[in-house]
Amino acid sequence: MVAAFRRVVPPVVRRSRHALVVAAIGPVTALGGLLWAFIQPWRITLLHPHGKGVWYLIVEAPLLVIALGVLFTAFVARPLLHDLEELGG
Amino acid sequence: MSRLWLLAAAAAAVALAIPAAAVAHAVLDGSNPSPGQRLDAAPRQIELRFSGPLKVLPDSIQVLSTTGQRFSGAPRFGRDSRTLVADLLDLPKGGYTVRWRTLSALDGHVVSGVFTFGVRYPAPPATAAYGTTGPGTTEQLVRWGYFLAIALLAGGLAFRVVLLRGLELPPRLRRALLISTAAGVVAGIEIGIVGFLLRAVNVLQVPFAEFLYGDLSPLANGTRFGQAFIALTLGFVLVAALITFAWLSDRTWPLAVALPFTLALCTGLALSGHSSSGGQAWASELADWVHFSAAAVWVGGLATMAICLWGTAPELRRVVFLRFSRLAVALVGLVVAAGVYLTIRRLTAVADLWETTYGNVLIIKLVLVAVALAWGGFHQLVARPVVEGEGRDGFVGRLRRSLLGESAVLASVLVLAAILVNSEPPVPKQSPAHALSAPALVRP
Amino acid sequence: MQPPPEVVHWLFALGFLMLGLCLVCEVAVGPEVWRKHGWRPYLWPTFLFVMGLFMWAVMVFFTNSTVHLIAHGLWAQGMMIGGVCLLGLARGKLRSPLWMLSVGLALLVGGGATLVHESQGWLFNRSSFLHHVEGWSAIGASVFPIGLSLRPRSRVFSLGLAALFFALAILLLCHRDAAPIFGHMSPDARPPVAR
Repeated sequence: MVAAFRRVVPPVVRRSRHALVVAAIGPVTALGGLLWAFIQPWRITLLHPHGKGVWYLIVEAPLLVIALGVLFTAFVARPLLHDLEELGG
Repeated sequence: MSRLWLLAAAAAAVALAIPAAAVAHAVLDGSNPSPGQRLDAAPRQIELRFSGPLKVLPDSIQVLSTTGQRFSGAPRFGRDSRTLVADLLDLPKGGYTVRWRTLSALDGHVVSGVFTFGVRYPAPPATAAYGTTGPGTTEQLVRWGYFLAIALLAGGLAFRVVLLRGLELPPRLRRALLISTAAGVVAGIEIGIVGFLLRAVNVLQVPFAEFLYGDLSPLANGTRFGQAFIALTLGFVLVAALITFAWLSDRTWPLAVALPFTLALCTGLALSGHSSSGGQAWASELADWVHFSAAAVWVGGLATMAICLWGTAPELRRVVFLRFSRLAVALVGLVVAAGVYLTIRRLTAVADLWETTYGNVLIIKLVLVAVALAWGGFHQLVARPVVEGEGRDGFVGRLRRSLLGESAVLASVLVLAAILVNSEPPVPKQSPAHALSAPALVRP
Repeated sequence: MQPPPEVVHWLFALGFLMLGLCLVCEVAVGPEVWRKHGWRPYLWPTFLFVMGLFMWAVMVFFTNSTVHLIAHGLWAQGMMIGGVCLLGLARGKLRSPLWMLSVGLALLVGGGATLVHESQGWLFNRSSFLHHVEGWSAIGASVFPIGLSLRPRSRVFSLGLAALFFALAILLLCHRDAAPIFGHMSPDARPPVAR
């Protein structure tokens, strides 16, 4: 009975943990970028140009990390969660 | 798992704990005059600024004229131990070479470099710096390998895209063609790097150990040779990506895109060769491109047919041989027409053929081309009617050796082409006033 | 208009971050779900391959020393060959998991090249320190793809490889050409121009 129950239930628990990882990883990345921007605001060169060249204005590392987290969530994680649910994962 | 992480952490801790001295390695940050600069007045002093402290060597700065005359005094520190200066004699109008070689004080590496500037005169390219010698045997062989790689790639792609169009290909043939073109593109990238480094060794004129820390940027950024290296490397990489995509997707269109790219890469060879000098350089470069592109497709296509097709797809031999015969006529026509034009452009007189080294090499090349044409003529006039007519399998099967033979002769023509591309054509006799501004005379 | 070296490091950091994110998700959902959509199995191998393509541009445009040119060329080849092998495995063109060894080899060669091309000591400045850590990390972590070539479904090895990608991303994002490390900076290093 217990074994039969485990056959059904444990995957649900495991599924939810896996789904949580997939759902969270993009936002966590974006949050990491956001925290970085707050902790080291001078890394946002747009706000603190200090005579830096154009490349430092184009490539804003913390903002790019945030963007990557958001894009990953939208284009990879969400479709993946959909597939996970569809396949009963 | 936790044990694994523990081990990794311990390894990282050990690695981080290893004490290391804070040693420096100096690189050239800037100079006055700067590389490639054309000055309106002769400078009294040269200054080199480095990123770290140095030790002055007796030959830390040498400013040399195109004839090798030294115009710089003893080097010494400038405003600090990172700056080297040397006083200059009165520099007459002309191009000058700066050779620098110094000891990075903290890590003991010898760092070196070379650049050029001009006084009331355009700075010569770094490849023409004083002390640079012409390409040696190794460089000629590398150039030949480069030609073979491009021929394998261009010929293989043309063979796949044009000659095999509409045919059902057995998997073994597909695989052989993929390996052949991939080998061509990989060889092109690797040999290109080796060729660039060999030229750089020649330009820098330093032992190998010092060459590792030699500054290559004046060669890469300030010369046509360097620009050709950049363009060809990036072009080869793009072609490699297209071939990879064709392999993964089992589609032919990426190869169809790769073919014109590969042919366009042949312009890089014209850019880095001697076509760029003299009047109407564009016409000479165009002819060079046509000459080499057509030859590459001819040689590479022939070799691909003999090596890849003959053993893997006997049922396609006849039809492909006939298709190649038709294409070869057009290719040979282009090769010969462009070759004749280039010969007329580059030789100042018929006597150059036997009076100059360039002419001598050209004669040998023409003899080999004649042998290749005769061989091709045999395929065209004797083999083709047989294949078209009764097409005996035994005869068609034996053609492979003959095709390989023609390929080998053409490959040997490329050796001579490599020597010619690396050599200076005969210089027309000019008046002394004109000769002063002739680019060829910038070189010693 | 050449970008400063530290900016190039940051851009490659984003690539490694993407690789790590994908690999963690693949491990989390399992290969069946990950491969449900046709494009997904190719996602991170393609990123690796494209990073290799861009590394060639770094090789030809950053030529301040021969050893840099050779190191950049080795990384470019490592990433491209690793990417091609992974793409071949994803597509089914390559069958044997032993092709994963190419990624291990790329890490060994790339890590070695990182250490050789960094001519300064550990504590010269931040960039030097990070190069040393990156080089040793890549060499140490080559055990993960080698392990995957023997046990392709091992989550430990997959997560180890993902951890390396995250670590490389963070280390590369920490790069600044003129900055101290642990409050230390050699007086002979160039002075910091920004905080």
